Amino acid sequence: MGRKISAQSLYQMVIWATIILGMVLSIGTILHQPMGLKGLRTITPAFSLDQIIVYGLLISVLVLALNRRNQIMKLQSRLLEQQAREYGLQERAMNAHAIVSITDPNGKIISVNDNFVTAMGYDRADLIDQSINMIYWNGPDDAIFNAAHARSKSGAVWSGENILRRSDNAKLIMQCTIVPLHDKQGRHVKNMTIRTDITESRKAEADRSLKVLLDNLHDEVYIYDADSLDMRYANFSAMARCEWTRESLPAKNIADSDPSFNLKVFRAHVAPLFSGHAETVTFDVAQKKGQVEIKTRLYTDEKGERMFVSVLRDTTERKKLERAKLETVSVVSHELRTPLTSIKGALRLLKSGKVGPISDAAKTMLDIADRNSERLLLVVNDILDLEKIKAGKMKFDLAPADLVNFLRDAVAMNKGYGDEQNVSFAFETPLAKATANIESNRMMQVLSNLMSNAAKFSPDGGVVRISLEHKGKSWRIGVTDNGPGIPDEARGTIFESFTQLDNVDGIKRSGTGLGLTISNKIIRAHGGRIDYQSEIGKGTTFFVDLPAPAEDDQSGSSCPQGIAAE
Amino acid sequence: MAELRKVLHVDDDEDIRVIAKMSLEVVGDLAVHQCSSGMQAINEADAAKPDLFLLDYMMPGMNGEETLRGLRQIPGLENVPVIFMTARVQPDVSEALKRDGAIEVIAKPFDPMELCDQLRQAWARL
Repeated sequence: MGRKISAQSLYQMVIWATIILGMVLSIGTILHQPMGLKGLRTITPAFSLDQIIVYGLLISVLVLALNRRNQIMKLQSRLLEQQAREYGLQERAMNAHAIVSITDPNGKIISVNDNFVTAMGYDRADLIDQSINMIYWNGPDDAIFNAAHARSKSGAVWSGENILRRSDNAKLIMQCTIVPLHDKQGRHVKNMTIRTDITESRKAEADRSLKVLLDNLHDEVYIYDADSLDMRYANFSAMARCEWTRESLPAKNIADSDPSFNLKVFRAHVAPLFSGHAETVTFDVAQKKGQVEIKTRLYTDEKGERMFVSVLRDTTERKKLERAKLETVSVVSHELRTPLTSIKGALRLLKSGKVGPISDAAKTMLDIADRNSERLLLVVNDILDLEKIKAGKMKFDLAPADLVNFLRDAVAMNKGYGDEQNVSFAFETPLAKATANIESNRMMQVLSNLMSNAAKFSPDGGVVRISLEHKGKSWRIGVTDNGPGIPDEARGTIFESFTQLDNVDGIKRSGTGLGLTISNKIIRAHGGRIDYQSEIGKGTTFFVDLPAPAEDDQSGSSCPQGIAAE
Repeated sequence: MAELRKVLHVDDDEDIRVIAKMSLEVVGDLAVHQCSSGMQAINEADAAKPDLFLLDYMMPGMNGEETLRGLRQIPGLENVPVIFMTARVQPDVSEALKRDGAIEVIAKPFDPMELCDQLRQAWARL
């Protein structure tokens, strides 16, 4: 078998023999050295030696050319086969790696690969013939989709990032290349879009950046298990103060962060985070190096474990400044009160007629002066209150009180003001008793503020409704007026200092513009919140949510001092 | 308890003294002896023989508390009730003064039409 000569080899041998013969004859002739070819002359008398040489050469060249062409064709065929194989491999690799879709020039989906189906979470049948913009984050209005498709229509390749919406509405970030495909006539017939999901890598990048930021934050950051209080993370500042290392951290507990850590006090402070009464709790703690403020939040991590994150900030300087500011405000307030005492005193005495009779016109003037000196006094009081709250100097001795009785008292106390404004207050509640931990004087300040605001904005002869209900884990106090309502644009500023809604209906109303700011801070110090709902032309309801003690704790317990919940 | 008749009022602000005098004498029908400083009060208190001290809390030189300490040294005045007036409205100041024996703390600005009633009500509680 091994010695059998194939037709191919035989053909090659004949060709080479002919070529060699032709070459030998040609060279022999050229060198004028006939090589005993007389025999040939005898055998083929029809041809001269020269003719034989020429024909031999021609045949050699022809055979050589044929052989060469044959070789080239074979080479080409092999190359084509190789290319086809490579292309197949590339396509398989692309389909295995990338998310591919083919659309018509208008974006209608013609086909998608398996990765596309898996990544986008749709059935293939739901995709075919739909517009590709269905997977873009902003649908047909997606700016990137429109820009990319405009570019591919112009015949150019588009590359960039786009944000896609998975069938379950999850956001996916994709690196995307859109290649327009053209037919032989140069007509744009399809777009091939190749995408790579970079959502995870982007998130990882963002996480890495955040971690670097967190690591290097000047404030101390602690993340620890909400049940065991075992440490999970501490940034450089935190580890430096606690003298911990990356290696020692896993064996640490938040209790190791400070020698004065008291577990019982800590658990009491974070209780509002578990009960849902607060999102953040703030402790003011005096440490060896100075005053610090610790803000703590509760969150559930990606594994479903509850974690505390505490941020500790040195507030020594800030507290010093606040104290100095409060001292200044107190002095200024005192200095303003002294002349006001004389002004108001003199006006009251004059108005009373005790120092001599006065005319009606003079009385009107005295009323104006008296009213405005009162207003000045309110501003002075409010500024002082605000500074006291800011400096943490306003004490909140919370004690259990029945809100039903408390609101009845509030209505009685504010009746005088209502009468002045020709507005009445009506209190209604389905509850017989509602115990909450409050600082009565400060809470009355809040109610007086809300009720006087409601009266001020009520129409003449109007009724301001006070309500009390149980809502979730809170008591909700509502104060509703039928006033002009609060414009939407005021929402961001209404609880800020010196905000007054003078121009709602063109009527100017008196007030210091500090009442809601103070009320907000007082309610926060109670672990509650204050907000409102309003409709232009119909009226406004301000509501206060106060934590309702748990059923088995209706007697209420005093909130620890020095803690503010936000 | 005997009726409240005479008040020793100490305040460094002249205008406030005028208002208070008018309030106590004209509105309240009380006798008033006024001094512009703690030292003057200590010097004149014995002769004035008041039923009640009405002292401003914040005064230059001797403040209200120091004035009271001086007045308490005078034989016969050791037990005269005291009411403070203050433009400082912090509750802790009021509480501290009450703990130190004040029967009332009146915030400034006071209402001259009601000052007398406030004094008499505190007096009646004794």
